[in-house]
Amino acid sequence: MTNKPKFATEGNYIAGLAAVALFVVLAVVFLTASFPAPAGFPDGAAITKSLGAAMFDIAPGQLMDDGEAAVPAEGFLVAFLLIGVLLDAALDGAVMLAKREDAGENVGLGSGTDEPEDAVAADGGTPSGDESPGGEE
Amino acid sequence: MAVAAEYYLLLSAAIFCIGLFGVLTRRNALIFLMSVELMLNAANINFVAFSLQHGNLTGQVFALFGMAIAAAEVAVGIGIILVLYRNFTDVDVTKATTMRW
Repeated sequence: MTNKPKFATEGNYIAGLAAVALFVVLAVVFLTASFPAPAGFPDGAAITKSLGAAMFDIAPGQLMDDGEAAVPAEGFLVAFLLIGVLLDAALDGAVMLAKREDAGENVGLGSGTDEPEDAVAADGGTPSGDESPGGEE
Repeated sequence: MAVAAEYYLLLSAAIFCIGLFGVLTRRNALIFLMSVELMLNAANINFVAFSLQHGNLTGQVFALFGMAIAAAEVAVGIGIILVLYRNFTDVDVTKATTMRW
């Protein structure tokens, strides 16, 4: 017998009405607002080249071939580097959260002395009696 | 040819409200994470739409950075859900009411 998809019925759908109400308010505001015609990009605009130039603070005119128009943008080199640092920190944080300190011992938010007996080894654990634990420590 | 800005805003509001609906009604932490992704991507749609509206690429670059932020958020979120599952043997967000030290 196969499983078939079922509606989730456990949720609190009354609270979801707030989201629907917010959508109604936003839709009324947006549809009654008036916007000028979009400025758009010039003919032959090299969007991707201009994006690269903006991200690395290069003057876009240097990259353009004949017939390609540069699109103005601000420089984002510092933001680009900061996002790189942020991604690195997020990766470290994810590894720190997912790692166990010792084999079979819980680490993280709720690690206390009263370990539940039915704690689940979500990473497969390490075999007992193994003198050479694998992986980095 | 160009789509009017109202409709981009309407699409963005719809996606944001779907995400908000998920956050408000569901109890599974993984679906929470997906709903937060929807809300972040609604913001990205607005950035790209107003980039076209103003004829300036700053909004598109900012949308790229928004995607990078979303990736970082998911990495940390999955780690937190993993710890949640280890400690409570469940990913129901209503059951994790204590933060023991």
